Amino acid sequence: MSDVILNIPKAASTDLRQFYDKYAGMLLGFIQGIVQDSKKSEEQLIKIITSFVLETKLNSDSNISTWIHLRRHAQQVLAQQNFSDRPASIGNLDQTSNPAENINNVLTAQEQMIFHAVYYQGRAIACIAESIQEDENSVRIQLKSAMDKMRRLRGN
Amino acid sequence: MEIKEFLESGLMETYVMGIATEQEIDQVLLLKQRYPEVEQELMKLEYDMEVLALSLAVPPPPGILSRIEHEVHEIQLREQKVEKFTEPEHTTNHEEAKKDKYIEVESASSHMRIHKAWRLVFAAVFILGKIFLGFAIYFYLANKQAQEQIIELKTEIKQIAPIR
Repeated sequence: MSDVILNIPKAASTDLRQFYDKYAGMLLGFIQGIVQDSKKSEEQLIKIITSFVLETKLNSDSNISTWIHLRRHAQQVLAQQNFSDRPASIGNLDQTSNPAENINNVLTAQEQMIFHAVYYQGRAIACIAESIQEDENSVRIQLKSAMDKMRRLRGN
Repeated sequence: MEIKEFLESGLMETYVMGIATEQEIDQVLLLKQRYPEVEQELMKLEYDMEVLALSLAVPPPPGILSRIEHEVHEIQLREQKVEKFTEPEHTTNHEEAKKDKYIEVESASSHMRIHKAWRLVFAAVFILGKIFLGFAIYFYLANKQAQEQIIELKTEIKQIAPIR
């Protein structure tokens, strides 16, 4: 639909397009890690981007990067609809085309579980520590280890 | 806590993941301000998280952007309408505030609202009216007395004149 018909200011429309081009794919990948149904994922994508755009006006003055800000927002929106209560899909991480990037081969089962609980469900360290009956420092170090391994896989 | 120990503790990762507690956030921000290597490491970590998300990205199907634009526009329009709708409420409040400033005067035909300051003006006009009325009566009587005296004097003159 044309911007003129929609009466969207040109600058705002350009900002939205740029934002969409940069983050929509990343966000849909993240949502599909939680919501397995692709139709529902798309609905959530629309909902999350719309509310994020309206709330932040695309001018985040936060110290954190836009993606991290957006991911937290997505976690909140999905948690409100009880999507985050469901176990996140580990398979989503397998979508990378390069076999060397198969994260699941690199991470231990516990590291995978911790990373998914934090990344997709936004669960607190204390909560994870309680559920796996380990101390918080150990969970934090395992999270760091998982993230370091994934960063190394991508040559960072 | 030494910097190396801090970098190894996993606190920065919990911060970037958005699950750090208030205390942990304060600690990370404090060390970020103090040590450039912490700031650099945080930026690197945030960038790597974006790269990770990019590698897990799923291209959205066509038509999603226009639906988002439509949604955003619809909500903005709705908000504008709500703002317009709430404006008369503001006017009512303004009128209520105005009401306190004025006293209501009842007349035969309808109500009339007058500013309280007019009470002083009315009082002053009333008092001045009384003073002018007093002066008017006084000068009227004085004038009447003077006229009577003139008439008396004229009669006296007339009476005296034939004698000469």
